[in-house]
Amino acid sequence: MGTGGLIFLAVVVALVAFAIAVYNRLVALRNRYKNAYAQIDVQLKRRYDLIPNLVEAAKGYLQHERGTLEAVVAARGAAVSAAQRAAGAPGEPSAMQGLAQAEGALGGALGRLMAVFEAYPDLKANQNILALQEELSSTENKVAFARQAFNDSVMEYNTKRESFPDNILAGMFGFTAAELLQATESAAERQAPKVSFS
Amino acid sequence: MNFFEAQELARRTTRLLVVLYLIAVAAVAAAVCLGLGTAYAMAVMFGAVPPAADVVIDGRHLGSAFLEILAHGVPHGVYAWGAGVTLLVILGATLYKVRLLSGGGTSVAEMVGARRVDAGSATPEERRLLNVVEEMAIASGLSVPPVYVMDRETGINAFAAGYSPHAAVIAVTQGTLQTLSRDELQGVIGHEFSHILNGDMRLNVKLMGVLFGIVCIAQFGEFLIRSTARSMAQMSRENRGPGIILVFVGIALTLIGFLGLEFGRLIKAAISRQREFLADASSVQFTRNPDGIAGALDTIAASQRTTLVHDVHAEELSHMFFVQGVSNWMGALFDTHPPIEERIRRVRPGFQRARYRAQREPERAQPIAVLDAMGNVVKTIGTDWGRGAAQATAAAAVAASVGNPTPEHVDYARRLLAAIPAPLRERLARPDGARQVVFALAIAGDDAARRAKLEALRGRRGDEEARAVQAASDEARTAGLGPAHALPLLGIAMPVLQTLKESERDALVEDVARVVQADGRVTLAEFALSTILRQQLREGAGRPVASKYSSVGEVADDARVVLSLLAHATRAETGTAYAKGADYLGLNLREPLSTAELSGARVNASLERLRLLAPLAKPRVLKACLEAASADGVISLAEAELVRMVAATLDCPVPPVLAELDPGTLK
Repeated sequence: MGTGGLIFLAVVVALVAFAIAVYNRLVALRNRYKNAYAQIDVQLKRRYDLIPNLVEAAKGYLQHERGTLEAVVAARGAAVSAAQRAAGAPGEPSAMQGLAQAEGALGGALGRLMAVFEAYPDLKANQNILALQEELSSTENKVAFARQAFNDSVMEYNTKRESFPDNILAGMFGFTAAELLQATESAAERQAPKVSFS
Repeated sequence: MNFFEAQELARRTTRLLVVLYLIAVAAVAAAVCLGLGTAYAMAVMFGAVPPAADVVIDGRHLGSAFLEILAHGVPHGVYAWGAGVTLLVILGATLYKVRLLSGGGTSVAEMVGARRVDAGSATPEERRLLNVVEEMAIASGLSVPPVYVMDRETGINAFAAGYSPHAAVIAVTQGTLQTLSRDELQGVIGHEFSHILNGDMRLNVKLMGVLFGIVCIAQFGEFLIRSTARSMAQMSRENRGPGIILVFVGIALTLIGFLGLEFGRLIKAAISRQREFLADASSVQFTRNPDGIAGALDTIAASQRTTLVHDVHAEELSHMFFVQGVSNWMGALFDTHPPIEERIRRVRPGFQRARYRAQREPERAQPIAVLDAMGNVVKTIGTDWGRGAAQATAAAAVAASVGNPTPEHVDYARRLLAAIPAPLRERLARPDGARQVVFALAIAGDDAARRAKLEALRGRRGDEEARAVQAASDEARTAGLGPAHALPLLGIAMPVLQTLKESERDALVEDVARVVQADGRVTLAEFALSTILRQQLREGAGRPVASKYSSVGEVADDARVVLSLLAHATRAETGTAYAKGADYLGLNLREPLSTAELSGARVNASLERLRLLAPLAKPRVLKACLEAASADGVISLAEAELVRMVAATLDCPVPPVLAELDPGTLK
């Protein structure tokens, strides 16, 4: 083989190595955003699990706020069944919309409960309630951060997928664009008072 | 500039600096080559080495001859070997250092004496920290690292350690926990997560390794100078030619090493500062709240507290801290962290200091303890003392087990504090004073007993301490504080005592046990006092114990011992009182033990075993004690103290029924 042949071989090897690197990077990014999506589910479930404990613990202190507590329990029940429906038919618009609505209602009910806590100064001095508030605000944060992490990883994946020269390979291997989560918050959720105990 | 752009800028600058760093390394290698070449040329001039065949040495012009040799006469091998060995030394040292420092973050955290925060026994502030770490783990897409607290560091700072994201840990100082708001804490933790995510630890370990390699070169030079000088002293004048050359090489290597080291440090500090900007910008990406990190920085700037970490290993971690953790007298160019104002300006260009400070919740005041009637600290404002009140973290568990302070309650605690005379209160605020108060409680009794116990105390602790204890005891007596106030006072002293060193705590427990025995008898009250002291000051008090027995049935004998003790202390008929407690637990052992069978040692051994009960079985034992104590419908002082002692041993909160009792009404 002459020098020309060697150079040709080197160029081919370099190109293949580059293609492999780009491919692996795209796979890694795709898996990352998929995992981020799963995280949202995990955090929503955590929130469902936390709420009964919360209501149970708050019952003793909030005899006169039975309505608020019952609203939280009802909203949680609706959200759980909506989540099951959505899991049964992933991607179906009506189920997804139902879930988003139920989630929004739950967020609103929790927000009202937090407002009730604020109205009772005795409660603010209670170690248990403070611990509960911390758990609740942390859970709400976790849901929000999970969504945000999903969107961040989708953005990174899409940017990589669309930039040159990766877009050539992405097209060849069928890396399709990922959708950002938009308007995951319903109107009700957006109106809910911001949970802040700092 | 949004945070994505800020991150990109920081990354680009880092790349540039890393290239600069590599150039510096190359320069070191080149300098070494030049030094070797010069040495070789000198050797030729001195005639120690024959000149190459094609080089003509003009004896009249030494300077040009020297350059001629340097340019053409030095064999390429000298340069190749010089550069090769230099780079090999640096590479080898780097690998060595990387191996040394690449252990998991756990070892680093333990090296600096940090304590791992356990979710099961976290205080409210620690719980908040754990939650914030979990939140940031989700936001950054990393797994949740172990969390550590540096209990002894009161400065505001935090660090992340660990060579890879999987081995990473996050540690914060006690000062950080106490001072920062939740949003600010989130900003700080987000910053540390960026260090983990962006592999800053790895980058820095490599940079440190290279610096270490350059130091090695300098040290080799020094070694060369010293050893040659020593052997030359014994040589005759004529033979010193090669020696002088070796000394020259040594001096050159030392100089190159030190210059290279300083340059390397300079660039490393610059890289570190860029990584801080990157971490700040990433923190904003994770929290989407620039006020969090800007606020944390501002709080640090406004706080009187230092940011310096005093641990001896702080230097190695200097670049991983949140703000400058190691003082540096070399000037801003060698700082590992950019100035705080500059960092705030970058993350939050329009940050208005005065407004932020006004909006932020007022600085938390000095710790204020809110006590229940038995002197338990049910809530502390400003510190994490409230361990006893907040061990359980599962929300429901907390609600089920802890007494709630009602307004009257808090009011009562205030009255108790008011009843304590000022000098005594001052004592209680200091560790040595709190110790004296505990001794004062221990020497209480009739005059003869008091004298005997004071004598024993003088023997163990010296004259001065005995006098102070006597003074404390008199202060309590003049203020009308009686035996009923003993445990509430102990409760106030406890958090302060818990700050003592382990050896001091052990000595205190031991001495109190000896002092109460000095009059030849141990009363129930004294037994309760020394038991509570031992249980709450023992190593690991307040943290969950590994349970050994899953049900009360397995320790029925021990439950019988404790119930019998209570049954004898109550004014009701012993058999009736015991039966009430035994019924509650469903014990088959129907008869209480006689007083002769109840020795202090036996009760202690039983308490130790009950302590190893499963967490859910413990409240049942406590409840049974309460049943036995209230068999006659009233709770006496002795009963209250014993139940309180059982509660302290089992690490259970005192039942609300007891907690609501006013010591003034106890007989």
